[in-house]
Amino acid sequence: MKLIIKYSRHGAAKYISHLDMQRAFGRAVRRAGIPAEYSQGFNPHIVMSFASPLSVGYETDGDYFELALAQEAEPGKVKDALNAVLPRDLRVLDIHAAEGSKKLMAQNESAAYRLKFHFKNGMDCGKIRDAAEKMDAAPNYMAKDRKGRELDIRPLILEIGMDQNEVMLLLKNASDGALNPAVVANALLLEAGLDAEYSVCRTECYTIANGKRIPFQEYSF
Amino acid sequence: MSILNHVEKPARYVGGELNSVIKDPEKVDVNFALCFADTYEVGMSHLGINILYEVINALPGVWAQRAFCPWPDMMAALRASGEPLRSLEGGMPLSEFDLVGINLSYEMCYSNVLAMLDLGKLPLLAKKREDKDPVVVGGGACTVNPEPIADFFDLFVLGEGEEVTRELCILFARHKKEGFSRAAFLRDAAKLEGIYVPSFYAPAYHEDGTIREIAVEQEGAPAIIRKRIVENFDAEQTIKKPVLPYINTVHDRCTLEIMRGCPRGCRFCQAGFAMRPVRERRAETVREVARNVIAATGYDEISLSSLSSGDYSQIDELVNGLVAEFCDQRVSVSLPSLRIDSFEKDLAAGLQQVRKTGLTFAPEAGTQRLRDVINKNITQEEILATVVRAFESGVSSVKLYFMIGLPTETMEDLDGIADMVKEIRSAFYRVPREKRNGFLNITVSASCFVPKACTPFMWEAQDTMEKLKQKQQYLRSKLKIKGVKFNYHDASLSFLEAVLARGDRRLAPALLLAYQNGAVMDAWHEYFSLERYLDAFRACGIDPAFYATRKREAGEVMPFEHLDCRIDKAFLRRERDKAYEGITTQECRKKCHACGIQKYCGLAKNKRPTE
Repeated sequence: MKLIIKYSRHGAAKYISHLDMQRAFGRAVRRAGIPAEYSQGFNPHIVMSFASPLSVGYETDGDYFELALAQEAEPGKVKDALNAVLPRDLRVLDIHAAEGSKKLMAQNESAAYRLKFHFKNGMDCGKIRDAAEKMDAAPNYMAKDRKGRELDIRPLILEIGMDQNEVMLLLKNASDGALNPAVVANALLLEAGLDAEYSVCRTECYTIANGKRIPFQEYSF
Repeated sequence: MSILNHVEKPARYVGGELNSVIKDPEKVDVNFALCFADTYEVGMSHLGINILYEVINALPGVWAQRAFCPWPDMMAALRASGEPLRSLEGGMPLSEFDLVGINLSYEMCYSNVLAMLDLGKLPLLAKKREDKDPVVVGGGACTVNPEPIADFFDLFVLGEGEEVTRELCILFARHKKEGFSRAAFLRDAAKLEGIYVPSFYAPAYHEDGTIREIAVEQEGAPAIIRKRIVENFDAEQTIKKPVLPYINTVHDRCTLEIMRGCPRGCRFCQAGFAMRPVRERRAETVREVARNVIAATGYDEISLSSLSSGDYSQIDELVNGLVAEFCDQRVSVSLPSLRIDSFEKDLAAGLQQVRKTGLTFAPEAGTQRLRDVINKNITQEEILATVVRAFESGVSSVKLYFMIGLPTETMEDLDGIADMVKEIRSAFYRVPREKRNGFLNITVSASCFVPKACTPFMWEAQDTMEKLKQKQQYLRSKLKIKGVKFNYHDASLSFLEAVLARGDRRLAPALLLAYQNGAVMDAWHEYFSLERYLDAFRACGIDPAFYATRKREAGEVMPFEHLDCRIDKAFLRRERDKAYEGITTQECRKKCHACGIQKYCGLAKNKRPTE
């Protein structure tokens, strides 16, 4: 049996790496006494895999991992058992059983993010709004990625808009193309002529099924 | 908190881990900063810090919060922003704590101690601290001789910390309630067994630089401060619900302390004498602790901790019990610092049932003559027999630890190291091909001998750096063998360690100056500079060779003469003389050698837990 587990991370936990996350959830599974499946070999480990690595410093309300069980278990009970033993900054939001054997990671198409800029001056928010609108309207948009390479990021931005003072993004997150929200954030700051800290929260992971974009939570793997 | 976005491994600084303790500040009478003067990853792997965290937090009204030495990038970020160093749990600046306790695990952390006090915005010198400032407490291995850093501390805990830390917190709470005065608190604290208040003592010196006497300056302070030994080791509180780090630490597993003290008496080893008497925790107690820790953490690895786990009398019973109990939960059991002569075949099989590990031996010296001198009672035959058994069971990697620069060492002893490696190598290839596993891998590590306080070698001179480097190069050329990797310690680091290990209070200004000139994270290769220290010694008129490479006379007053680790000096001197005659001393549970601790030693009175 395979479970698709949706989780959130906030607070101190946002500073941990992808590997740390895997270890934290692996140990939680052990503490909760969930009948996980183990790999073969000298150093058996829990069979689990994450949908999409999350950068250090990002929060999430919509990330996923799949967990293989050695015996049947009721998803609702597993959720409660995990939440009872997880540190306060990691929470399981939803669990559903996979019906097929599709790999979680292969289904990634896009991911949604909330970008919050920390401005000292309230007026600066308007400048970001203008920059976001300009980016949205442009057919192409050249920006520097995290390694300093110039690229057209516009095709990787599926949606960009504002929700009050936060920028809402839907970015390509697939094997044939993915964009880190930090690249968009830095491009917006550059466009607006501003310098500010910002925080990132991933809100959902999406796949395409029958031509429609649906969140992992509603997809039958 | 935006500086966290610009430093390496920000998770080191944020806390929030499972099992970390949060208390209501309104209900806390005493705030205790539990500090470790190295990185989070190193500090969280330290047994003592984890024990004290649970011991202190078990006290009602007392809150222990952790703080570690920030990495230099974070230090720079804190300085640039003017932010103070804060605790992980409550984000409290160090300067707001009542007690700031710093673990002194080894000499090379002294610059980090200064960095933490400085970043915590505390006056560095104890005499500059006022009633509003925290009381700075030092504890741990280096308190056998804390004199070089005595000026920076209000008090030290000598020996084992569990009981006396409780007493100290309770005493502090009382003083705080009655209106805190630092002087009055220190006077009362000095009455607790194991508490050393350095400002109450004043050393005086002869013209040749040696110590004339150490005078007691404070009425009521004891002339000799005895180290503390816990009343009942088996029953004493230990780690049951440890903080579970998010990030990978050095020892990221369930560590079970099975024994304190060591019966062996290797003559170079400070812990082997300073941590006596030998006491065991009962196998049943250890298993119960393991049950708690595994349930509280989800760890999948258990390691046993002690100075010599092979000497633990219930080792077979314990290991087999742990393997049987935790096998289904896929928890592996590994044994560090296993003595060759207690490595039983069944035991090796038991370990491999769960996890295959390489072999680690510490012969320390290459010839039987020198091993007799240092009282490392292992023969080459025993090593080879063990190695062959291990090779036959599929082990193909061996780690060997040696020390160079030991008293009476000659080039022949170094040849002996190379010979032993060659013997082990040919033993591997004598094992039938179908029984052995892959290619042989031998790692040879050579550290430099550092004479330490409270050992039979505390009067010895360290080899000069030139001599040590020469020996390292000699060994390197001898060990250019296929499948053999040779590592050696930086001789300049060992030289500084030797200066500090038997140093006195006159070193403090130089340590302060070196810190001000940028010394920090000295245990980390990329940051250590001996030049920085030599400059500071020069500026302060100190000859470091006086401390490191000078042989002391039998009657010389040591800087730590007033600190009693309960081992008789006469015994240590006897051991030193036996070393020069090449006479070994049997392990102390087979025959008591009257080291001085027998008065407190349950084992000498035949009260072994199994009997």
